Amino acid sequence: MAIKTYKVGKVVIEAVQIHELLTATLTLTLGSEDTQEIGESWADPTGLGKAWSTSLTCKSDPADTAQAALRTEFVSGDGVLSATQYWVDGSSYFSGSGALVTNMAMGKSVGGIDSVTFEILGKGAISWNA
Amino acid sequence: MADSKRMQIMDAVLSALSNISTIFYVSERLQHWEELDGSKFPACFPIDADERKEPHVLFESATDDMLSTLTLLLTCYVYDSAGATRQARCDLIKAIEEEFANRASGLNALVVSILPTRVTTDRGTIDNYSIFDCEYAVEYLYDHTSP
Repeated sequence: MAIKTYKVGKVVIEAVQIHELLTATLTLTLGSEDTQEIGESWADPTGLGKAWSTSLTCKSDPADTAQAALRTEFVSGDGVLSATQYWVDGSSYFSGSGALVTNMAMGKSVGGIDSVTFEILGKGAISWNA
Repeated sequence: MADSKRMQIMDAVLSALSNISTIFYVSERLQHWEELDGSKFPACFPIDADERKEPHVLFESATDDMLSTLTLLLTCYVYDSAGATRQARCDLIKAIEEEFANRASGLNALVVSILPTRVTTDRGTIDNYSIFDCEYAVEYLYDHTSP
């Protein structure tokens, strides 16, 4: 059985693992458009551009190197990352080259531990490494 | 074998309760109030009760990846020969909350939070005594490989 669980995997930002991860999502998309005539014909969509994005929610730890890098990039940098890796286990991972940090949200709640969420949008290709 | 985090927390709880100058007796062995010497009031009997555990972060991304909520139950006795136990009861509830919130540095270093959740009393049914439970929710983090 080769299914994976929350017990394995990590996310690496600019060569540094991000810690205290609550959720990590990698989404790969392919835009599509149908060029068939309107009427009774069946859709035959054509692929357009591919894209990838990552959403990360962590327990907020301002001292964590990767969290700090994302925060700094967003607040005082140009928001561009050069390397993002999404590891599904100890040996296989997706590797994205350029990416843009598009959103950062921090949260506090009564009785809870502070959280921070980052949204990252790929600027180029993503590859699979097994 | 190193002590579990739960064990360390209860050691710190006992230490914190012993620091409260208005508690004259702290013991993990619960005794009936009528069997307790008069010099030992107010008395407090702590017990680590039910506990809920759950994964809290992705395991490879943190050392403390489990979140546990431990119910701490403090059974308290106060006594007043004139039957006016309200002052003593309220003072003791306040003293314990203050100790946990402000001064129990050893305990607070072990936990994420220790918060009062309930006080349950005997509803005044016992003459001259007030017997009540102070319940706390103790949240702490630990590594799944080293509880």
